[in-house]
Amino acid sequence: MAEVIDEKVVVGMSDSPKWVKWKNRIHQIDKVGLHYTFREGRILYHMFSVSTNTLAMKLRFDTETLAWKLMEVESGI
Amino acid sequence: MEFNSAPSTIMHIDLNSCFASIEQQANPFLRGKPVAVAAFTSPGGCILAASVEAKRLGIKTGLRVRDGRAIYPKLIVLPPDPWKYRNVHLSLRRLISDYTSDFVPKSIDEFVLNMKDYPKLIKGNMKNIGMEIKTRIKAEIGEWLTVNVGIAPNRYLAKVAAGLHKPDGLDEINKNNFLDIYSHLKLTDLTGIRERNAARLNGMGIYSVLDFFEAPVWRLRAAFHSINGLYWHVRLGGYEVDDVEFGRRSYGNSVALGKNIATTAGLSPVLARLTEKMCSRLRAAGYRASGIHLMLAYKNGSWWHKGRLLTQPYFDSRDFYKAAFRLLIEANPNSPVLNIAVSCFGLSRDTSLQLGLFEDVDRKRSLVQSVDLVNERWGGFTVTSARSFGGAKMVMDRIAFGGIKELEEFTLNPA
Repeated sequence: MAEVIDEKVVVGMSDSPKWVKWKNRIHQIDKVGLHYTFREGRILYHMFSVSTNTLAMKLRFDTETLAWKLMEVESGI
Repeated sequence: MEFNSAPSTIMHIDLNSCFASIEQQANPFLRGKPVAVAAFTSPGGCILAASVEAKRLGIKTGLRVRDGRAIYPKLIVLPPDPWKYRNVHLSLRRLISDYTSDFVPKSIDEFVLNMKDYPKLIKGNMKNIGMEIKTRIKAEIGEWLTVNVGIAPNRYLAKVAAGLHKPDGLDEINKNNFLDIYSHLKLTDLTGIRERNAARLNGMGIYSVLDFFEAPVWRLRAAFHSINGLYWHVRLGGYEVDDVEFGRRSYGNSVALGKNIATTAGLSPVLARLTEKMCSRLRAAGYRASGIHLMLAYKNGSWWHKGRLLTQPYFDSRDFYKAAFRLLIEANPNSPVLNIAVSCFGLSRDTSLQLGLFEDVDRKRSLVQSVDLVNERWGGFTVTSARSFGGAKMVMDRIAFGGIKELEEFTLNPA
């Protein structure tokens, strides 16, 4: 079961997310499983389901504030 | 009747284990494992989709989570994430529109394409196009996603063909192979023929799909006691009778309650929330409605429902809530409710305003429009009635099961 995190993070991006800095640690992203979008009111969010070698993460990019959030983390099942 | 000798131009595309496959696409750690997406992850939650691996163990849509875990204790159960599925649907839609503009989504995971006279078919053939679509889905949408492709001269047989080899199949039913395929199918393998229809057919001496195909129309009409007998005769002969699109006749919302609620007071916030959701969709589509319907399904297996005509077409959630609440009082629930569904019918275009003698309808409309604008800007339910607060946690974003009407709303307004 994924753990809800909902914390601001720094994400390195080039075409797609390459790394996430969370709790002062950089996690290299191996794979973007799915990229999808949705709106809440007028705000468009980009969601990235990504995975590192040990974790699956859900990242959210807010196109209004240009901020990234780590929404969920799941360790390798 | 001779089987239709026209070339196959209809293609049915069905995404395998839709919700579960999309979750496996999103999270590579789930791939190759039995996964289920359930309305609730608690033991009583209903499984909405099982991955290919879970299906192989006998875990199917409709089972409870506890039953799935009884079959396989390590079953991974996930809650639904509707926007993932809607986005994959939109991606499929975009990809398919490269082949034909004459296509219809039958549900979130099923499309029917008519390729007749389209350049891709003139240049190639249906099987190659089917292969190309499969390859492109893996390359452009997700490498874990597989589809079943069925090809036939009509929509019905294309769907049957799509179900012949799951997952990842590609089959055609045509004038050269239909006898062979029919001889390997049971009556109940046909979509639309369940036990009761099979019994009707048995009663007329029809025991196999080949008998069904060869039966004269009078015998089929006698079996079904309706024109449906003729439709089945035409369908199995490869001719088209299913290219009919039904327009929208109602708007509704329902919820499966995750906890035991058995009182009118407990259900009313949920009803208020559902009614507001339904009415905001109704107004966004430019309609009013002159009827309301309420349905309660109880945990003990019984159910109650009632519809009522309203005195005039309404657009305001408060008017619908009053009528729905009266129905809820009539229902007088006294045992735990499993599902509650509210819908409105008698749709008419919201183009003219019927002024009221006892209330300022124009003022009411201005208020409703202002609230809709705030919610459109800041997100649904930013401004909502106090009576619906208790229902917020119970009425979540969900994809209508098997339905396609809600797809209109997000395909016309994609993110």
